[in-house]
Amino acid sequence: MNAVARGDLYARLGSARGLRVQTVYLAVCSAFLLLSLPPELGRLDVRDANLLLAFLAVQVVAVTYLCSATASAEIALEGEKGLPDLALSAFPTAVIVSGKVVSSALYAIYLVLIAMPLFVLAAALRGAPVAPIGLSAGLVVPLGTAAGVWGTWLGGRLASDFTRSLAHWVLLVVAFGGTALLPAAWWPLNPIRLIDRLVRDGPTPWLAAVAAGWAAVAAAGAWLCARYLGYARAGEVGA
Amino acid sequence: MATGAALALILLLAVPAMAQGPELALVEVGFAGFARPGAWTPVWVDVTAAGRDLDATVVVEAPSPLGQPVVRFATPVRAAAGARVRVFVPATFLDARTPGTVALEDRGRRLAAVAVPRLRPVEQLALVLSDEPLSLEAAAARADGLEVAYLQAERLPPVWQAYETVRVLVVRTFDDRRVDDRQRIAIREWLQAGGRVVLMPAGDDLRHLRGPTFAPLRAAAATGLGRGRLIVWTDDAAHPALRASPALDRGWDAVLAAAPVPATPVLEATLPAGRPVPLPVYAAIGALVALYVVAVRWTSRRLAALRWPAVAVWLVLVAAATVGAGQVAVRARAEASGVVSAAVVEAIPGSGHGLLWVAGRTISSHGGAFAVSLAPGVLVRPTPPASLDVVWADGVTLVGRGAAVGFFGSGLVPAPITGTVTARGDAIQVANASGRVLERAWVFRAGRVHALPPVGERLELSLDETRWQPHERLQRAEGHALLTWAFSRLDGDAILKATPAWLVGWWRDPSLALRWDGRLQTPQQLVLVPLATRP
Repeated sequence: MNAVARGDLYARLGSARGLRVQTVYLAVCSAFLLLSLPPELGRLDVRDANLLLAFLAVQVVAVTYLCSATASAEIALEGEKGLPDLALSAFPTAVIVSGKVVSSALYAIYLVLIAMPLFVLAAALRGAPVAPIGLSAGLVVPLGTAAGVWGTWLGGRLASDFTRSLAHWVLLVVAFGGTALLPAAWWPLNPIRLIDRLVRDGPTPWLAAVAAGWAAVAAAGAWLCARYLGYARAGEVGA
Repeated sequence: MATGAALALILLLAVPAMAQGPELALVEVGFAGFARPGAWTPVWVDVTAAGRDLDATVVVEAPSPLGQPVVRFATPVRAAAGARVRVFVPATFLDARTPGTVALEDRGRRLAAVAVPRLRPVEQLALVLSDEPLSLEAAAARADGLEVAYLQAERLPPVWQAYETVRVLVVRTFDDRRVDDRQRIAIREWLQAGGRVVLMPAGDDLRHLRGPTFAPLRAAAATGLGRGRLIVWTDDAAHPALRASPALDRGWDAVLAAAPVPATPVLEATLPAGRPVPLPVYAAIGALVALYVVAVRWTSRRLAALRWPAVAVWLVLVAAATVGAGQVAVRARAEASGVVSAAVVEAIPGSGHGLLWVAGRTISSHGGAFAVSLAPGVLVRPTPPASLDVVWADGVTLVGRGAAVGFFGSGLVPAPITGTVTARGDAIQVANASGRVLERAWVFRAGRVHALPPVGERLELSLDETRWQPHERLQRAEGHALLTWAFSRLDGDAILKATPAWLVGWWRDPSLALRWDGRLQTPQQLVLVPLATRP
């Protein structure tokens, strides 16, 4: 496997802070699960579809944040190398960029998979269909990958922690809040609206289109990372 | 050439016969077309199995006036090829203008269907078996909401609950050979439950009074027919000399006045709104989740090295955890779902039986499919109407989907328990041949209750004047909605108030168990026994 990706994943899955991040993520999902248990059978205040939507909305936000935050060093993990460090290494640019893309994608897949039993338990307890959980993964993984790659670029491009965090949160707000403000015809661009549609109506062709769109966003981020590495190695960082 | 032509001819003749499907013909709906919306109504259909043996279901679809929900009343039917069978289906119709359809279905596939003609809505009926008019119409007109329907004996329903609309059954012309045992039993049970039957000769024909249907009832009437009443007229009301007589009018008025409308109890309000999820379920799910989080942490360290065997094992573990979570959820859901019900047995003096009223509601964590079966002899309908199948075979099975689907049923069940109380209320005697112990029992008398020890086969007890207490105080202490309902009914119902003292208690009759998705639930029944007064 790509050495850069291997190093990133080792830090995210094996480091003490990486383990804490996972535990918090699972704790949030578990809390949702336990709080969603009905106090009395036959008296359900939350409809099954709404409950599943709430679960998946939390997941898409959490995975997107964790992918970008770990990549941008907002959550600094011992052993994970950012672009400035890697620019000084002997790895070719293509290896670094592809490694960052692969590590972001695999981390997103990992986060989706470890939450799967909890979501299946929550949905099946209420008899809600479990298919939307799998379908939403088709959106969460490319979105998390794109967030991770753009987080990587932010981690290299912006040296100031404050500026980097601000830019990181602006990007997240644009991805979730900004797209919600678009006209109704643009609904697939908002991840929550798309998941809502998946939960209520099942598979839609928009899922593939939007997933491809986020993959393109990830590719654009990868191009920016490669460009940054080029500048950094040429000693033109900040230009 | 000739052989080929012959084969072709045989094929041509055979194909229509093979293609001919079963036939369905509506014989009668209601009593001569009369029916009360929402009440049990008899539906008779003829099914002819043409071509091949038939193993299907007759389904009566009764939509509400708005089109939804549609209650489906179903009865299985089997017939050999070429045979015709008459099928009875008890149903309740919700809309007299467009009552619905009767269909023949085979595993969901519709083989034939016929629309039910418009019904004549009625509040109550005087049912007459006579080949001549009996001049009952004038008296019926004086009784509010009462109509007269002339019927043939073979159309009498085989379940007593289907007499729900009938205030009185008048029998003048009756051929015993045209009814079967089920119809005879239904008449007897309806009498025990409070029905009224008037018997009279048809001219000089007295055979039906001595036949196997009514002779045993006439003999039993001497010792009591439960709540019902069998009235025997010695004169033929169709006799020309009597037909215009004022005496006949007075006679009919007396018969109709002596048939009070029995009030159907409303038990729905006594049902609990839900069923709390047991604390162990929370604890078990919490423990499983915590275990899973720890397992993920543990495996994550080993996965970090990204060696393929570790990755493969991790993937298998996550897949197993996902499948296991689904199975745990399905199991927990099935275990936690069920029916809440309230059942009352009101003993009928002198009959050894009791009237059973049962109300229930499905409690389901998921709103999924369910099947609820009740004891044989108990007829059940959804209240309020809901889209589900009421399958009537040996007993009734409700098949549907969703939570909070309510139902109400009635039946006549063995309740051989009698008792007496002294006029001064200072002693009680109970004989209980049911084989079940009446637990947490009380004597109810004049708005006060006196606690009793568990009532086994016999109980003889002096009642302590100081231990009587107002029933309201007991209700507060017990906190049981059904008990509150029972005391207010005994205190307020005009017919029940005529009995000054009652024995009230709980027993658990396994034969009245509900079967929910294959699992038995045996709820307690509240038993009400009228106590005779002795000096």
